Amino acid sequence: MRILEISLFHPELIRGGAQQAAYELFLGMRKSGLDATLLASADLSGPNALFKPGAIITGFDGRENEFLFLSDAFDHAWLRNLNIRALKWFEEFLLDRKPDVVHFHHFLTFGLELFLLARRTLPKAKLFLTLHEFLAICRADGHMLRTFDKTLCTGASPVRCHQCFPDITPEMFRLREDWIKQAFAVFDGFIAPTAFVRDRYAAWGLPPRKIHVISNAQTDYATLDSWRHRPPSPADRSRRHNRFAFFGQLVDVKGLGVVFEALDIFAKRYEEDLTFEINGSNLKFATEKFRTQFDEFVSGKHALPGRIKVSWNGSYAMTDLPSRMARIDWVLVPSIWWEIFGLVLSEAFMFHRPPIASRIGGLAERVRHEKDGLLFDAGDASELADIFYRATTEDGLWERLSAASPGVPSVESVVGAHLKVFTGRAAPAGRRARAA
Amino acid sequence: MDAELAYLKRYPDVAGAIKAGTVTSALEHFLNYGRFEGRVWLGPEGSSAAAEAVAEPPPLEPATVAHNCEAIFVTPGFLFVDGWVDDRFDALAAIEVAANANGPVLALSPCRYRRQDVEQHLGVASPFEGGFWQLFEIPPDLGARPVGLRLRLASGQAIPLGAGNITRLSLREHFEAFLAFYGRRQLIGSVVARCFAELAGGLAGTIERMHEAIRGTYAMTSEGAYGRRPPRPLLSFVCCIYGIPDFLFLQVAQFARYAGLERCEFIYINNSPELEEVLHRDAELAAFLFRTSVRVISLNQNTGFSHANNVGIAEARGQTIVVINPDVFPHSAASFGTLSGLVQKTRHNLVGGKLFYADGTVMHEGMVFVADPRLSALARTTVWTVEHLRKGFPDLGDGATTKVPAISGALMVFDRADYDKLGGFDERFVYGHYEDADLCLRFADNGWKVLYDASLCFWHYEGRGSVKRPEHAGAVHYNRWLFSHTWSASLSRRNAEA
Repeated sequence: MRILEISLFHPELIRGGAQQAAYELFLGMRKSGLDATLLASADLSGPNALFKPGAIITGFDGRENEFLFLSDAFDHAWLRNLNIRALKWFEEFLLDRKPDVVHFHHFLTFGLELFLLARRTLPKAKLFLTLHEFLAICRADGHMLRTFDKTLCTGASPVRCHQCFPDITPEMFRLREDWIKQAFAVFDGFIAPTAFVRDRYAAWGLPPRKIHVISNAQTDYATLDSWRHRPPSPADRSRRHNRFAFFGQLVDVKGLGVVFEALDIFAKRYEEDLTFEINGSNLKFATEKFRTQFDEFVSGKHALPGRIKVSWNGSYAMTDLPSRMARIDWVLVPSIWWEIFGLVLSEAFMFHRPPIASRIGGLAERVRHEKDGLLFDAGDASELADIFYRATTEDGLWERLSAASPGVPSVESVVGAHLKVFTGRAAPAGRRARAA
Repeated sequence: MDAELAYLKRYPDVAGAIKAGTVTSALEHFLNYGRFEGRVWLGPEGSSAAAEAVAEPPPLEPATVAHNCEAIFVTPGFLFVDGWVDDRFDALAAIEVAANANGPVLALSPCRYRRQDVEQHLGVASPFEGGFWQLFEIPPDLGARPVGLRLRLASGQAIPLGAGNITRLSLREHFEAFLAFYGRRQLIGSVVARCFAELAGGLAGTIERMHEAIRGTYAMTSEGAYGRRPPRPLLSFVCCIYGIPDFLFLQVAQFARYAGLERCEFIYINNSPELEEVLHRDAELAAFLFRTSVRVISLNQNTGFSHANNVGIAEARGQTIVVINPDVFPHSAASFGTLSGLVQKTRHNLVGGKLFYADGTVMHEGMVFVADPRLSALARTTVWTVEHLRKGFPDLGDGATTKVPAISGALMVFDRADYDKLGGFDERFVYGHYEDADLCLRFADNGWKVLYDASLCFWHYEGRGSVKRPEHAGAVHYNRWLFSHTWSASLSRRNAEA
């Protein structure tokens, strides 16, 4: 079986959950002996030196079976590719590679036209799309947050979307939905990383029977020598688990502001000490208000008692995870938007660091409250402050939750689950396949 | 001795005032200041003028009539003037245009409009129409560039209007500027009634001739054919694009959802020159992706709905023509099937469908003509309104075909032979509005049928397919008058018979 994996960006060039999952899956397929090819997009936001005159598809850094799709004319308004050469060369590429399965991971940078072209060019091939986020449903970057007050949106409609974008009429949103569904209609199946995503897309109108839930592929970094051969950590022997950490993008919707507020409450309400480490970057994409708050907390300008320490470790690579995880006890996932999958949960689980997460979206689905982690209402800083106290003081809590950590499914099993879907041997869609 | 010199010699300080620009002459100084200061005017030449001026009793009303000329648009053959005048005490009787002081004069009654800023400026308690305007058609004997422009009051007083606000415009710019003004002016009373009176009073003829002159400048700037064009398309879609390019690609995409388009052709007529390149790009993309024939014919200006569609239909190869708005899309595969079923079966039939808003309610089930009693009373002539049947109502799911007085130009299916015989859409209508109803009435007058097919279901995102510009508001008034003027007697008779 020839498989073409089509990824939004290459994780080597631009970091991101969707491309990481796509790439891990591709590598897993190759490792399993499958004839898989990767076509990852690159656009002008990345290194322009990769663009070659007249080329639409090129190799990538001498890596076998990895190609770049050079996207220079993607239209965000209608999710279209405006370069006809891109369409024609993509068609040629399909005819050249003749895949039996084309597995898209996104339409961003490619254009919805490529879905239609894939179906037309390869009428017998099986086409699949992994639903990594909600951009198809929500024009507001797929966040499903109302643009005017940042409250959570539970469902798109022409009028509701118009409320978020007053300059765009409801009819245009209807047309947007029609166009996306027209392009989505070519797929034999969809893959959702969580049941939450499946349910949202089913409510939006995709046939539920076509949506299969398969966890994202992710290498288990806890198997690295740097973790397995580490010296014993205080987390493993201490009874005071008072070290919390955040991993992820430093943007508003990831909810760091809730943590800051919770620290203030904790300082007034309790006398225990704790540390809070922040691991992440991309502060430039945050609002001015959040950046100011962030600066004040990490610089110490914001007055907190000396028993509460906040520090920022900067960005991190996956290979840094063992050392970053070794010095903390809990992983905070305080998102205030609909997390689809919560890659950081996988990172927490693989290192047996119990997550403390917002009760929202894919987080609420993946964290089993009181079994392998703790949940609190999204945005509720007071409840989070209480959880800080409980986490630092309750005997046996950390040990219990840590021991129950499910880890992450092996990439091999995720590849196997995909193959079952690709070959039509998967269990009826709609049933959750948590461990792939 | 010259009286001026005598005054200056007697009162040396006046020379200083003239030098400083306070006054322009000795006489002006005397009349405005000197006589109140006890100074005297000496000398034989000036004595009478000064004496006359001094002899007149102080006026109870302002010596001058407050006014301002705010715009004069000039283009060969036409002149538009806009301003205001405080004529509460001496009514404005005419606006005059002259080639020169001794040349022929063209005088027209002023058209008036309300100026709240003027009311505020003058401190007027009650609303009044202080604004004036007129659109002149300048006859050749008045000269190519008339220079004299004045207001004539009822008393006979003439008020020259300054030439400082003259703007020379191209004919099209002039037309658009006038229509924008005409569409936005504020009146005391019914706008429709006033428009009908003004248009019937001669303005319509001027607009018509101006429009006719503009039509003489219509030209094609580019033409592109993309995709394989069938020699005899089953369906020729003709669509006019104005202001929003997005719909070309999206409309073809919407059709492609339901059927192969190899035997169709899409012809887009571009009325927005600035969109030319984008439309060619999207035509090429759509033709490639959806395997159909897409043509783009770009025009040099907004030629309006009638002309654009006439151009497109002239280029169409199919016998069955579908005139369609860019924001109209098939409702389902069945709708496309119904449309395909009309191929070669529309001879002597002008067929429209059921149109839906995006929310699923009905937008159109045919049109009827209604005499508006209120507007007719105000205008003292019958004012006709076109109403869409069941607009905004839930769909009843019926599928019958019935005769109706008219159908919307948003979706019209007909045989090109019938269209050719009728001479196409009437290009006298400016931009868009009423030309679809006009075509329906001519169709029916020819003994043919105007049909509403309830199974021909299409979405119509009414009003979203093009942009609105200020000049369109003025054109709507003109088109409404033209339609009523043309069809009033016929519509009264038809409605009575019905």
